[in-house]
Amino acid sequence: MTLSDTLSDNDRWLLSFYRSSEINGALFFGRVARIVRGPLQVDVTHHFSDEAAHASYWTHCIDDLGATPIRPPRAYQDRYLDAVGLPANLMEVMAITQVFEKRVISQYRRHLRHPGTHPRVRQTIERIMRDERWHVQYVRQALEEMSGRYGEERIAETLARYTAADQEIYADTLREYGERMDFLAETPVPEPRERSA
Amino acid sequence: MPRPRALRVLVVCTDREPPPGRLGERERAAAPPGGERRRRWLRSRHAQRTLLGVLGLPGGTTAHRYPNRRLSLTHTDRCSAVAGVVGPLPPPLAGVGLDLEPPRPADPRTARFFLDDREQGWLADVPERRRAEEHVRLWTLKEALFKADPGNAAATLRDYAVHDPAAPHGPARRDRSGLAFGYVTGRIPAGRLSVALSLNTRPAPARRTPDMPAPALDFAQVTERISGVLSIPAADLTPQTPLRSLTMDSFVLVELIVDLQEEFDAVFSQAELKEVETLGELVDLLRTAR
Repeated sequence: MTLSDTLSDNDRWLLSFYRSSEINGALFFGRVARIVRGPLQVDVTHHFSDEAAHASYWTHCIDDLGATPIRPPRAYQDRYLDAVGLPANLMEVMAITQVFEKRVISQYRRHLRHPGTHPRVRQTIERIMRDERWHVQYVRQALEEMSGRYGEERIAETLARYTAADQEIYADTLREYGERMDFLAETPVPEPRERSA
Repeated sequence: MPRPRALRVLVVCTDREPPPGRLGERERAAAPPGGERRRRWLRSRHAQRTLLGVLGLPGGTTAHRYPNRRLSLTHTDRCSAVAGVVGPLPPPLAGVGLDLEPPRPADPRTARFFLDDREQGWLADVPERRRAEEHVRLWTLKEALFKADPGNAAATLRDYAVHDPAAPHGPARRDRSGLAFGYVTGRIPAGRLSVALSLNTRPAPARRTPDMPAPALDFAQVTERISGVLSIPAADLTPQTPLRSLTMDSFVLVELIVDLQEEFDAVFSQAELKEVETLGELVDLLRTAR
């Protein structure tokens, strides 16, 4: 059996979807890295390089499984902007990042729990998850440090708004691409929660 | 006035090389070729990996450059140690320094190279049986202070003065550095260990508070900034230019909007931004949101 025999059309679509999301994340954070000032520059620039590396991991993974990536119709991030509008300031950029990263962790965790996950895919997700947990942590800290400028209440309200939007977007995505991800729906996991520092 | 948050520093010390698979390909590739240098390098990366894991930071050690506000490294012939500040880095934190020395004899003539006259006087009064150990302790302390100072290029170890040379922890200073230092020294099986932190005593340029008048902002200043971000000639930008005509890419628009707020110290809300259609309105919002 060749490796390509192990990758179904749906697998290929989903891995390409992950890859595309990571590429979009890198493009977005490349822009954020150019505009942030002060100590946050270090973390955001690292985040940018992580996203690019993750896109590379998925590309290698798909290649190792004997396939080529396809271009999914729309990246998950684009749906965010449609649903909640453009982030109006740096706090909203970090808040949307926080919610999105938690969604990513939740999705990857869901995939890991699926018993049929190919070892090469599992290896790639586990490698990426190490970085994703740190992303959530540093963004949470950045938001805490922004409370003086934006106010705790406003930050909490923004996170709540984005979290609600995220749940709708994810539900829409499942409705639209349900057959692609049906197999993951059989392995539900709780809604994403932050890891305690 | 709120009490400043206590800073916690963790130190990992190891005399072992990393087990197979512990380091990533990038780290293995970056290791110097064979021999003691390579062993020391791998040991150091092992210590860093462990500490980064505990701190919840990315595990790839090649991502961290030194000097580093959060981390500091030190080696002896037999072990490597790394110190890391826990949690968010407070803005005044300038640096952290770590030094480790194995038990060794000390030549008293070298004291003048790193201790000032007062400190040398104190060391001379230490009973002879303890003098070598105190000599090494103060050496590690001065090294740690030096490493914690991001502006140490023109400094010597003598420039760092500890308040009480006998104290295992306490304050230290370097005149005209704009920094305040704190340190702790101790003994571990591998030798004498010192950790130092430095804090900026000069306040960072503060953001404008609501009661401070905002400097005047004219349209040309904003268009100059937009021109730089979007590579559009400033002459092409007028108050009537529609915002959406500047770019079709939402990410670029986010970059522009956030950059202008960071540059001109303003904060927009979603509701305010939704009302903006032209550059003239954007500049007006920048003026009122400052």
